[in-house]
Amino acid sequence: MHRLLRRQLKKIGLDPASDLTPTQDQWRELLSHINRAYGQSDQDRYTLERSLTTSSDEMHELYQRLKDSTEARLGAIANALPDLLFLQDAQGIYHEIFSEARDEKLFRPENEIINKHPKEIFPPQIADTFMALLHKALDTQEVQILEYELDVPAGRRWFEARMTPTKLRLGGESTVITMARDITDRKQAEVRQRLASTVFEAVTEGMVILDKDHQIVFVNSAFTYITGHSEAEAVGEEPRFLKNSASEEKLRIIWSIVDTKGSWRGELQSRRTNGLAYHLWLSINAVKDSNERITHYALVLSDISELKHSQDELEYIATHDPLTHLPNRALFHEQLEQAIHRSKRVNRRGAVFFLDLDRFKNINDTLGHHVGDDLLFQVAERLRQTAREEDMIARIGGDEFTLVIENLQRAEDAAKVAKNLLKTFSAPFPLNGYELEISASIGISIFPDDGDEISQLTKQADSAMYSAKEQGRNTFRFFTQKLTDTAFEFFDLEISLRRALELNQLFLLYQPQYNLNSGELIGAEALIRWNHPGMGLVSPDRFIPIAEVSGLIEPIGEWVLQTAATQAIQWDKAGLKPFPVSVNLSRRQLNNPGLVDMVSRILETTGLPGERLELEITESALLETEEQACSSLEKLRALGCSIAIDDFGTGYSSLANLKLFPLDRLKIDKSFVHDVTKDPNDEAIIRATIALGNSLQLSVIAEGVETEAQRDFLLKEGCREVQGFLFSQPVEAKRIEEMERRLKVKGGRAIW
Amino acid sequence: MELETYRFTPGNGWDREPDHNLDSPNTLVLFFGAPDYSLIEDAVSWLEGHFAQGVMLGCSSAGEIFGDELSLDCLVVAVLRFRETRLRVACTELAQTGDSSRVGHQISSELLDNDLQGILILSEGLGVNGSQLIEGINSALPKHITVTGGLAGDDDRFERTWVWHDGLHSTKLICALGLYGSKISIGYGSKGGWDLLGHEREVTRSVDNILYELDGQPALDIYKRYLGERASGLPATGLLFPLSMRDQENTDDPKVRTILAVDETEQSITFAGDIPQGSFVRLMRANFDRLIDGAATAVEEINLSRYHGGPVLCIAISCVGRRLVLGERTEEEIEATLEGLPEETRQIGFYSYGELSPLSSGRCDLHNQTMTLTLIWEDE
Repeated sequence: MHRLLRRQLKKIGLDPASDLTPTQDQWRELLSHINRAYGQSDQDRYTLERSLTTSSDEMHELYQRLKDSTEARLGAIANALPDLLFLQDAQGIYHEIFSEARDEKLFRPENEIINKHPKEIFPPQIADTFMALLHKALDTQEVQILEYELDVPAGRRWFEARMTPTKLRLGGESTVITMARDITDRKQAEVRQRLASTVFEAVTEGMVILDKDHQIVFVNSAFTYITGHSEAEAVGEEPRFLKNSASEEKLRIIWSIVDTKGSWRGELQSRRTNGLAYHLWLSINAVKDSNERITHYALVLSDISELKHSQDELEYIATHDPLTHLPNRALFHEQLEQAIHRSKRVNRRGAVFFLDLDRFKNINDTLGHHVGDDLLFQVAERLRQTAREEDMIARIGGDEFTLVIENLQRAEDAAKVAKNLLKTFSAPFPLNGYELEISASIGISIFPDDGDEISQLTKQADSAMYSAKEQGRNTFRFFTQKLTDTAFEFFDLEISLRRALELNQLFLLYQPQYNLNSGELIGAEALIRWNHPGMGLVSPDRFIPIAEVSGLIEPIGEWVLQTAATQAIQWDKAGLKPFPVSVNLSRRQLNNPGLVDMVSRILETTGLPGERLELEITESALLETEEQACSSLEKLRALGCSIAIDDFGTGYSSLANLKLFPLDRLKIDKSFVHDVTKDPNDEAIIRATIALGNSLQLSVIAEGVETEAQRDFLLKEGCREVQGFLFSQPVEAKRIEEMERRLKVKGGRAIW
Repeated sequence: MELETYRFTPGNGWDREPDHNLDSPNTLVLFFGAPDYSLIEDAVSWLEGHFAQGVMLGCSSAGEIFGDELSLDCLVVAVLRFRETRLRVACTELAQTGDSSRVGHQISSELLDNDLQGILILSEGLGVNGSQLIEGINSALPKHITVTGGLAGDDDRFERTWVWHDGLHSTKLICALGLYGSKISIGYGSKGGWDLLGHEREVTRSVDNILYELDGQPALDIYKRYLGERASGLPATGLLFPLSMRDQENTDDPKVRTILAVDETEQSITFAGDIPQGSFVRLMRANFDRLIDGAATAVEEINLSRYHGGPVLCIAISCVGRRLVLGERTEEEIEATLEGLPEETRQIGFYSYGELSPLSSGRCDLHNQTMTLTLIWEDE
């Protein structure tokens, strides 16, 4: 019995196991229970069936939606592919084509292909190929690939077909899907690439492709030929031939130009793997992608060594005289221009020399051109030997030579060069078996004094040269008459001075120095004089510079020291109270390493104690001394000598400078003393000098004291040591003796 | 523990007079009765008078379970006198649905004590959001405390439910009974046994436990399509098609949600628990045998390893939806549970608007459409 019925019976109070029959009421209630159960059962069935149907409908709808969307999605994907898609059965019949918007690549319109066999569509040969491919795909169950060319509405195109067997069956037939891709562009690129690589290998220019990190990715054979680096050595490496061609700095600049401007071209000198140098014409181009980012660099290099060589040769021919191999007029102009430019920049002088052989025309005419040429050749040689390396010699035509020199101190220096040039002609020239005496005339212009233009300077030198000729040849002339005069006077004086030393035309005067307080003679400054037989007394201002330039200052200086020292001893012998004697030292002397030895020797031979010798150096000389001069001064002081600074106040010495040197005395320059009563500035300078002397513990002496007012001022300011006309002019040694002796007799000197 | 169960039927009175000698401070009087309180008011008053020392607690039902029988519009009572187990009740009225979580937290916090072993919840069944209530309860309790219970029912009318405690029967009351002591044992089991129907649908519009749209269509339309002419019986007939729900992350076991109400103007359906937007649901349908098997399986889930004989109370709380589906065959599931339990078991219970029982994880959760069993015994 169903458990429900059993429970229903139990509910109405009947035991299903007993035989009791139900009462009327029980029966009615049982029926009502059963009726409810049936009713509920109906409802349940209704609900169940309805829910199943509804659910099934929903599922179907869902499936349909999914199917639609799947198909739509697949269609969208297929159409998004750039390829054409064909679905064929095993017979070759086309069932489906995806070719949206690519109909121009279909051999026939879609509707003429669907449900057709290849033979009905394509030319027999192509149809056969397609069918063979289809059979192979189905037989092997593997993808088959075919490249073919086809005339389609879009033109003649290359396609790559990939035919893939599928699991899908249509009408019981196996199927294949073919993806046909238009590879025309790729094909064309391949052709272009083949052509390009043929060209790369055929050209004589070296070609190199670098990636963005400068690693070589490609070189052609010309590259190997030019640089010596094989492809295997080069690829994957940085371009070593570049490293051999320029400094790191230059390469950095080149690459920065390439990276910013996109290209660079220029000439470099490089070295092959075998060590030989060669000239390179290099062009570098940056290769960029569509985003303007550099992806590669293309380098083209040509070996221009030969070209360069012939270019150099041509240039040499164009700028040099073939006979003498000296620069010609063109190069002379160029060099002169540069010299003018340089001189301007460093604020120095230079000179242009025009040298013309005297009577060259006669030699040419009488002995023939080849002798003339030989002479010119020899002249060129001699000029070369005479000139310094930095001087520029040129032959500007016929027998005309030029010389350009720079860094002239004085115009006189140019005169000396001219003299040397002329001297090279003193020896005869061996020509064709003869010994020819040849002279030359020289014209000189000075830049920038005479001008700073090539044409002007050459014209002036030329005209000066003609005036030298007019003066009787074998001489030189400046374009400026005064310079010529000075130059000749200079040379004359130099000769005279040399002889003056030999002929004892030089003599010394002594200017006494006094102490204003005591009135005592405290020293005497030795002053050189020259008594020229013809010219009379020559001022030291005139002959000392000549002595300096010519080097005569050395023997003259030694003579002065020797004489002054000897004189001091003589004064001693004459009974004078010993006092120091001052001698001026020139810059040249000061810088002469033999100075100390010389002084020491003189002190020794004369017997003069070092303390009795004062050496005066001008302030400007002190400032320009070389390092060893300082140690010379130290050594001189060690000998007992004292050191004084002459003309103090005219230079630009600083306190620091003064402290560097071992000094004993400052001599206030006479120019300040001269104006001291009129010019408050000079007063201030003198005061400052005295204060400086005090603070550095140097004694201070004023020179050139001529008036009582000057004396009074100095006295008032505390400067007690003086020399000057007010007390005594420079006088002969004897006179000092007399003055002191008379004083002794008088028993004292008036205090000034 | 001493245990007796009684049934009061209006018109017929008590099946036998309850033994008021069982009254003590450790006595629990648990009852489930007709939604129409007036029918059973006298009987409840009688109990109140005779079990003055004990703890008394009850609620309205959608069908009372007594032994292996289902009865309607009566009162079923279990009287348990514990030897050692102590009892405490915490109650609060729910002012509005949104307070559910807070109330849950509050009442369980009140009960929380060192030797608290388990909590039985009886909550009004219409205003409460069961999911939030249980969330609040869980938030206040350590994991080892067993929480079971149910939402009061109102037959198949869904109009008025009540909970009774301490002389007060209120439509807003939520009560929690705490069981304390080392001797008390609480077993539980819960099973549905429903079949899935149709495809999974996404919850495209919902607010808390109100569902508006599934897959972009009005949810109510879907129900009406499935119910056909029985749609006129909504919301009760909606119980024929509960929802199986999983969240987006698919973390927990799927939960079952059952209909409480429909709103024709809003085209919405109110469920006994939350249906979060973005979760996935499938309709479920009943298969009688499988529902009955489900009830039997709920018994099998109960851990009886600590049981060594003696009286046991089984509180069976089943879903009103099951009663509506099973109809005449409802009692088969009650029989099935009792058949699987120890001989000395007494069973009372009720058809509810929501069952509370631990998940496999051990945390209590709201269930729908299940047979949920709570077994209580005291070790001798």
